[in-house]
Amino acid sequence: MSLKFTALVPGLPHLLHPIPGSPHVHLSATMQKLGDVIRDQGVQRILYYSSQWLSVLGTMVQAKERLSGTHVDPSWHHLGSFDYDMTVDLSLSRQIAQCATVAGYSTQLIDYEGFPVDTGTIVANSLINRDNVKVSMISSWLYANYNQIKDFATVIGAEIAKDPTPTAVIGISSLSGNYFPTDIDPREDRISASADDEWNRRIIALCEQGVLSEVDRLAGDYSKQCRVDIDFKVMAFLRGIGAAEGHKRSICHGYQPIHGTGAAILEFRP
Amino acid sequence: MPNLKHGQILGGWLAPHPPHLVYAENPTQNEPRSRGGWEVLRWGYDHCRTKLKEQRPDVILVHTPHWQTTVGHDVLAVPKLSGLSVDPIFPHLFRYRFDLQVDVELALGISAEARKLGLTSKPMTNPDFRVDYGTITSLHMMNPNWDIPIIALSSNNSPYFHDTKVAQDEMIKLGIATKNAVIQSGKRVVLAASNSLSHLHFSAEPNPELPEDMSREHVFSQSQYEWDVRVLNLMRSGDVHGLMSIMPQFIDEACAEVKAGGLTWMLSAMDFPKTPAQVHAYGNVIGTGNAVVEWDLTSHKKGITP
Repeated sequence: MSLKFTALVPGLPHLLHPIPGSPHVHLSATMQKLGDVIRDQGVQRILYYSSQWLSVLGTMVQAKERLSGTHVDPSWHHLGSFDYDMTVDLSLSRQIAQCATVAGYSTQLIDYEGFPVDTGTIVANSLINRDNVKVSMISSWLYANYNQIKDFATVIGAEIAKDPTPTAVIGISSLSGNYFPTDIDPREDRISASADDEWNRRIIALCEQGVLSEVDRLAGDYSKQCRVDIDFKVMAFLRGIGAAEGHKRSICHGYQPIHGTGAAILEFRP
Repeated sequence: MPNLKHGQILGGWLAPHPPHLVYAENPTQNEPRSRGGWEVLRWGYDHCRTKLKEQRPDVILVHTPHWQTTVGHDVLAVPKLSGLSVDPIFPHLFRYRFDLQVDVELALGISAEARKLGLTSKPMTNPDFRVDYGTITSLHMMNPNWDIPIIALSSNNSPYFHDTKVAQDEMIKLGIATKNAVIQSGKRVVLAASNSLSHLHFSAEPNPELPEDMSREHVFSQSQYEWDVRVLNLMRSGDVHGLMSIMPQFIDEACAEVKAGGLTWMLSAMDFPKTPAQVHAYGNVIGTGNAVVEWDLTSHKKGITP
């Protein structure tokens, strides 16, 4: 089994240089600790699936060997510029694209200078992958539903399982997505609505208890009620790829707000 | 020192931004090469290029749906921006080296006026910012020489966060703020709403080997076409009240990209002109409905002034 580590993490840029006294400090530190765990487990490559990399014409898989540059989040541009430098595991990317294509999914390998890497992947990689192991990344196909993404990920998971390279799969998504529509003091950040907070805690508790089929069942309502990023399809991906298998308990390392949204760090036991 | 000369909005353009239009033109700035395609829409933009040469505005303002901001209506406010813009959806068609100048003074004015009206707005001052392909495509098609300073306004996600009504109300305020800032600036300005009309599109390129295969291009559906024509006829007849009345239904039923607010912003900034608009072109790009439409405020009066 090559799947060594799997987690769901947030991907907003507030975590890269968190304001002292804000809840983002804890999230940022926890993600860095997660990176230490990944290193200790001998992970040699990380596969990212971010709710912030959207594709329309099927699925995209990153296939540019070196991704480097300076990133500014379009929405949170005042939080600064973030340098990134990643090495892509081309063989993994090609393997993913090939098996998805064979299974009938429209899939594109992306190999372009200047192609925009999404904020979520940059945030997660900066905090988790400080040893700079090779990475791959798959886009979120906007028009697929939860079950289609789960099925798609199952195909990818089967392919990864054939390869003995120790691999981590990181899903990047917010939980509830209701932002505060105005600027706030990050030190006073909180979940924007109590109903969102209740939903988030319910979903986290189900993950902790290992009742993931119930998470699948609730994903639609949860997304609708709380505006979860891309209808919580990041969880569908994790479920399909085998990162969050039923009845295995998950560990919640942190749950905090980011500008009113819900952000959790959930480690799944593969 | 106060500016004693009042500024003017000379006119506005519905300026759709499918990157296919830039790709089809083969400009030096864009890396991919094509055999052409979508000529009717591109010929429509020729009218805009000619008009801008005649008018010589001081600034072109564009509202773009592809710079989405979670909090507020932000305004590009860095004097000079350059770099490579790659379309995240169509990277095989659009890899464009941009080099543009921003009118920071007017940008700051618009942002300040927006805040005065109760909107949340920030100037975007990060010099590493990557300009979105919507802004670049519309502005390239309007003025490929880039010899007129520009300002881009972000699209706030209020249509998705609240609802269409709240969002449209915000865009009306943003239009008023824009008009006020232009008048105070003393500058002559042209506006652009970077939007398609109906926005349902094919889920795959009809001919991936030849994206510009015009034998495979057509409107997504007859109902989308009928919606587009209905809206264009209201524009052509100068029935701006009728246009605004059906906008929510148009957005819902045609998944119209005007949901992002650019058209409402532009019409508001122009005081909802009853001037008949001129439709220079209509065409489909991967199934979406696109039109190049002009509101020439100088043909009946000397632009929007106090």
